[in-house]
Amino acid sequence: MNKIKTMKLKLVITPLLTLVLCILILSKWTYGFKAFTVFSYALEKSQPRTKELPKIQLHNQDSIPVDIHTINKYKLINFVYLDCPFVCHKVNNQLEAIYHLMDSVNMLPEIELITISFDIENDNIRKIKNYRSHFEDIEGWDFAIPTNTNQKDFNIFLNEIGVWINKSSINGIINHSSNLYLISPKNKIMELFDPNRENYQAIFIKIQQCLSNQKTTFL
Amino acid sequence: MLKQSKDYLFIIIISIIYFLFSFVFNDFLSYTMPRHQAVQLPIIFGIGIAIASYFKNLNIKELSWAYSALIFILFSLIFWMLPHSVDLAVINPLIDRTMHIHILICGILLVASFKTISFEIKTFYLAMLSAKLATVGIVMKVFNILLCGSFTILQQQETGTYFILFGISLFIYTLFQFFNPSLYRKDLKD
Repeated sequence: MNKIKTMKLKLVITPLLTLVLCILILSKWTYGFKAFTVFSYALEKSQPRTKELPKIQLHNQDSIPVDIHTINKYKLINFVYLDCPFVCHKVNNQLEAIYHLMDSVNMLPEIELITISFDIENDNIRKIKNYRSHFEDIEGWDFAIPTNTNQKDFNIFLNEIGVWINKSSINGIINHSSNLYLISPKNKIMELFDPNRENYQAIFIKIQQCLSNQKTTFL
Repeated sequence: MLKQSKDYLFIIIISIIYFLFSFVFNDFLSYTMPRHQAVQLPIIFGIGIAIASYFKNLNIKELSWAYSALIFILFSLIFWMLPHSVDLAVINPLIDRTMHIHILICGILLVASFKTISFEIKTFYLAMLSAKLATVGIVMKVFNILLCGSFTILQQQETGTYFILFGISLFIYTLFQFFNPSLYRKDLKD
């Protein structure tokens, strides 16, 4: 009788333990069922999201040093590489559309757009100047490249803010996160936008809300 | 003696197939998502199934362990279908190898546990797997957001189509198994 009871118990307990173990592993792997892609995993790993932007030395398309921390404005930052076949151009086009919307409500004096290349090995000032020329009529939008750093150190900076990049050894294409970062004048990351999931109008409205909320807080 | 030679020949053939799909063609198969998800992994899973089907003694005798194996397989498939896992497998050769061996073991365990469990549970499990495959396929097909950073949206959608087809095929197979009277008789005999 006892043997049958033990067998029945084993029949339940072993699969149940396996189930619990599997759920635990899956939970650990996905940061508590919150991160299912490399992009969201990088973001979760970089928590807390609203933190100070780490320091980075940049030069813009005119070889002028850009120190994000000394710009006393809101900053909208995105990360691209110039040989990108598709996504980066799409994001920059969205950024351009956001720029024009901001221009229409006279928001531009408050905010600066900065597009940073993360492909230190292949991109240079000449290339970003050439790329910047496609957005001729736009003031207050810098295209910049990190200087006095190497790819390894710059990747640490990217990891800290939750940007995932990986260069394919097969075709040289860099797979990467395409988030837009809204940075406060005090250099805190205020909000993140995903241009692949949200259209430019929705992002613009969110930026407006963030800015007005911030002003209300200061008042 | 003949049986032993046959076994050796089988092991050699299976090892060659595994070596080809896991090592020789790995770069080619990892290049696009349909090749990686709808060709390479099902073949490696199939190799595992073939191994456990060939060696009749390879079975999990205890029912509790057979159920545990089925749960393990289900979670393993979920684990390696996560975009995060797929990307890391494409990027990191060590994770890639781990995935191949893991999937191979899953194939072996599936047949090994199926030899022990009842016909009803088998049918239920296969139906659940087919539903899971079809659902993942539909999600991949209709999602217009890139899930795996190493591939493109078009490849993702194409893979989704194949997954839907796999799911439907597995469901049809399960239905045939369910309504096959000879299987009932075999099950009753067991």
